[in-house]
Amino acid sequence: MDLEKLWKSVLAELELSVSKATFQTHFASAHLVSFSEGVATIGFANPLMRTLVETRYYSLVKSVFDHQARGDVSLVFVVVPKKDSLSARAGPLFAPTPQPSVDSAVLARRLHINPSCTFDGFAVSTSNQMAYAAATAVAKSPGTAYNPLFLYGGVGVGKTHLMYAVANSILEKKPSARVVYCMGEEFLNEIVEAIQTKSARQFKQKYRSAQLLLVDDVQFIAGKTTAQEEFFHTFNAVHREGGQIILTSDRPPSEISKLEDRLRSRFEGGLTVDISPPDFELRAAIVNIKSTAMGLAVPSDAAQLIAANITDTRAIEGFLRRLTAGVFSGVGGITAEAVASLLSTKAQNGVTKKPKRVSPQEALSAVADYFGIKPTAIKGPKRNRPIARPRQVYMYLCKTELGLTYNDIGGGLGGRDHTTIMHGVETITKELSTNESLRGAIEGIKQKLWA
Amino acid sequence: MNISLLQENLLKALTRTGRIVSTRPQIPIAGNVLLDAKNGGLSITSTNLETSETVWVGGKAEKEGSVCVPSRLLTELVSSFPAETVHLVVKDEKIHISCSGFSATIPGVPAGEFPPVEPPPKGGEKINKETLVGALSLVLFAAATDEGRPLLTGIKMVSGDGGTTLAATDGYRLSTKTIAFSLKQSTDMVIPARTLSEVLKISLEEKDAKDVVVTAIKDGQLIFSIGDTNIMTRLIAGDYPDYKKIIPKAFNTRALLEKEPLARAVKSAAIFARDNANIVRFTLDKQRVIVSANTPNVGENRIEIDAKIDGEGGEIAFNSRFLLEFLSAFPGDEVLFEMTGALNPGVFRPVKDDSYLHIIMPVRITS
Repeated sequence: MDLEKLWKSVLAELELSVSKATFQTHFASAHLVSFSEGVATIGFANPLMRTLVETRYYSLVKSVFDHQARGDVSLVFVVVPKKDSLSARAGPLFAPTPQPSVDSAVLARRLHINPSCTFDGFAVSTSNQMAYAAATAVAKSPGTAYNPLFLYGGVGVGKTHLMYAVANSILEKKPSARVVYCMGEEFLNEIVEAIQTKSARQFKQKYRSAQLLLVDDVQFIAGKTTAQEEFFHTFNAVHREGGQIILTSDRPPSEISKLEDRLRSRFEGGLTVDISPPDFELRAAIVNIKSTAMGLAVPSDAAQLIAANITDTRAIEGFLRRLTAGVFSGVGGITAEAVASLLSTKAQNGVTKKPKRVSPQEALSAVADYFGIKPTAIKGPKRNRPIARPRQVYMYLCKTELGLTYNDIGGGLGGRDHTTIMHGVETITKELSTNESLRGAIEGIKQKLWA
Repeated sequence: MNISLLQENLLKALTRTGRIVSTRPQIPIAGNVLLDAKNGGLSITSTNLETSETVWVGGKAEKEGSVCVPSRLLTELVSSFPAETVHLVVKDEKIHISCSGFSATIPGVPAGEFPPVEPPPKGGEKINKETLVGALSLVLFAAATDEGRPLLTGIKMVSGDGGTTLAATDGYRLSTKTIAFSLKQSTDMVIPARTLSEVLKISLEEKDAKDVVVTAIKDGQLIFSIGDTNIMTRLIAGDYPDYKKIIPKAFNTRALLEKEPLARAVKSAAIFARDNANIVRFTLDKQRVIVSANTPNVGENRIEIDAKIDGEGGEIAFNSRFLLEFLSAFPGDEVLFEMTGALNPGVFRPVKDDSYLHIIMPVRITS
């Protein structure tokens, strides 16, 4: 019989013979070190506990062992100190301070490129793997791999981060590289200004000589005739000279309305990759990367809580910043509880902003619809699980998405007490990090609500 | 058991052993003290399963014997007695306590229930008390208090040829102190800071004791003996973070400051830092340091203090709580402060003394 199995059955039997409190304090932290030739060695972390068990429970433990191992067993009690290793949790003083080489960072700043956005700080998952691979390939051999590289996706998925990462990696290798970065709208404004001040030459010089041209949110130039024409020529000039072009947009070229066909065909001439919103695992990884960068020690259960409750990556960053403030004002280390309590207040602080107002009634019917029960049942007094669970989901949504107070939610639920609501919100918040189907349910209801 | 002792002595001993008794003990017996009457006195023992403390009180024992009694109950009771002789008598598992007209009866618990505590074996090493007290008060405050990171709740003690070094860190600051004394056996261990702060308190209380005797016993445990008190503790196992690695080797700005004006400045700035994450800024330039703090909608303040500054100057921000704790422990009149940029740890040390070092992680600020 293997050690673990034997110890488990011994523990199970011990648990029956002593009180729960005794079992927890005396045996729960012990383990079976070895068992051979009728000698069982039991290890304890605490020397006092070892002596206590040896003097007080020797005969009990022995009889259980005799029974489980079917034979006469002698016991040896030893102290095995529990080792604590904490390389990562030792605190910011022990975190390596990132020292970016000053030159390329300064250079990047001058070009309005954020030097902290690098490939190392980019979490990769299935949703952005393709884009990441393409961007690294471009950084390795600019102008030849994929030209242009067109990245599109929703808010906060990491389009701009990848673009910056390419620029930073190229600048690090070759600080003299001519990198030009602009937003689609800036490009527009600069043309207007160039025409007004009759400095079109400088404008052309600046853009057309680029070895790496980055245009963020390129969809803004659609529908502007002059800008599109100028961009067309710039594109051709850079492309002809072997310069790399990277563009980002919120939708693929084929869906950008009022975009000239000649531009559209050029945008589609390279590689077009979409980045989908980060999934739960990726968000958890993002929480880790960002918290490490901020010198914040977030335990993994807390990280999962954050990832499960905040979907937008920028909101995650904002949330971590607020955590930092909390940590320094003496709340203590970051725990899952602290995170959960901050999460339940986030709606009031405007971390999530939705374009549309949703009434509690709409939310109620959406939840009821999703779970296939009557809205009146949610408001009703029944407390069996098929009803209670949707009710807690409804409380959670009211709190985090609609920003209602505990009292208001309770009032809307047939006069339930605010502590009941707090409990419900907390239960869901905690479970989100471990329960995949619950995450799916909440996502589904949210989509229905905001659609 | 039948013993008579003086109320003051008994109360002093009970108060001392009572300090480590948990208000919510893990197992019920840990809420008790073990009374053991022997020829010539009474030994009182308490435990929190990590640390055990035994105090010897002289008295006249008519009959030897031992029993366990709830710690808080007995302490409160004895403190209500007048300063006369107290008689403790155990009969039928009950303990009868009387003192000039006061008397009480408490059901006792058999002494066998109490976790066994050993007297220190011979062969302990003497450390000069004053030296140990000085070193402990410089490092203890920097240890972590949250149980989430058990190793950091301990004090690292390394003894070798070059003396003995004590180090404590909570991940945001680090204190190290080296004393010339070295143990005969070279040691490298992590001792719970809570135990050591008890050692410090008792050392200060025991005015007559000259030395603290340290004895290592089985199962990685340690006994400290000061006068009539023994403290037994377990050690913390694990790899303590390599603190030497994070001590800055160089600096680009150094300021020589007087401690009192600096402490006053930080105390004043802390008023406006209270609602803004305790952030206090140091601005170093031309022979002065400006200490400032602000909280939107509350106000701001700024204190200028004279300093001798070498180097290019700069700005750095710290948590005021860390600064105040360090400054209140710091013994000298002058402090050397060294920094390199706003993001690298700041170093505080006494002038012309390499044995003490305090490092604080700055708070990131956006100007």
